[in-house]
Amino acid sequence: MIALLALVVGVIVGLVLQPTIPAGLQPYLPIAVVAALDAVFGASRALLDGIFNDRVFVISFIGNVLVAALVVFLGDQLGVGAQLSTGVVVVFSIRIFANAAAIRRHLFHG
Amino acid sequence: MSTPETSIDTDQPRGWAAIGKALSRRPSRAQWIVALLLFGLGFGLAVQVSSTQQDALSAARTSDLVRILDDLAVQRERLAAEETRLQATIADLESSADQAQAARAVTKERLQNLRILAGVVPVTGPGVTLTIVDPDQTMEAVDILDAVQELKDAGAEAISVDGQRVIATTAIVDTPEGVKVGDTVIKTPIEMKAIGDPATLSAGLSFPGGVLESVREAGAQGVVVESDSIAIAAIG
Repeated sequence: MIALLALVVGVIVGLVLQPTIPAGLQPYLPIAVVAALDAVFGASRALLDGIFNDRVFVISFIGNVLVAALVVFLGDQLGVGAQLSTGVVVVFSIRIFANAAAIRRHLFHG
Repeated sequence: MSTPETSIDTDQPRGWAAIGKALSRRPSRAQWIVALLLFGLGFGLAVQVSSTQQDALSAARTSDLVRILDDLAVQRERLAAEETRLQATIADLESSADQAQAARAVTKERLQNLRILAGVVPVTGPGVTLTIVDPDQTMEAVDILDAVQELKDAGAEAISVDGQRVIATTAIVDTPEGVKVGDTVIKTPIEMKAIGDPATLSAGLSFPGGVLESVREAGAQGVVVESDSIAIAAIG
């Protein structure tokens, strides 16, 4: 419950404050957001499977964001930042779809 | 990675029951951490969405950007040409205004000079006063005319004789009662005022064989006094 509230509050705070993203963070923020979304979908699925674990979620959330940022950073250094960003987004999108499908099965066919 | 493979609590509820239990669970420390992470996610999401909406150019494709750039370059050239044209118009207007102003100033000056010559305006300025004491009435019109002529030669702008403004059409004639300047007969002492450079005017009157000498020869007395401020009334 408190987690959902925090999500909503975060969105509202972001919309109200409208901070400018530092130039150094600009390429990483969208990838980090997608990675975090993937972690949240995965956690939702785990919750429905009955195997949700706080510690695992925290680790997967932070790990996802860090690895995604690292991949984009490496891509930038190698000169293929745009392509790698696209690749990361594609992979995470596929996972989100898979998780969303599992969640749907649980809620409507379970 | 995001789907946990292991579970510590194996008899957790599943499906809708899991959601119900999760929503009704009291906030533990782990829940707070999860909430913090989700707050960060929401914040980042909102910031990214709003920044993407604000900056439409960063989402545009390269070809669109090139087109926009071309458009702006064309627009800039057009505006620069317009600016040049308007600057030329400003210069034209300014120079014509200057010319008109100069012409107006010259005309005004000429008007003032002509008014002084015609005697229709009072004049004040440096000049000389020539006083002739003539108890025997020996001065004739030609002597007065000589004096006026001499003052004019010396650059007098305005001349008066006994308060009568002398202009181009003023008559100076001999009459049985005495010398008549304009409409009035002048009486001794005759006071002639002239406005101009005082030194030049007094030199023009007192050179050898000049006005003062002929006045003296005729048996009268003439005195020239230079002054910084002499007032001569308008004609009439």
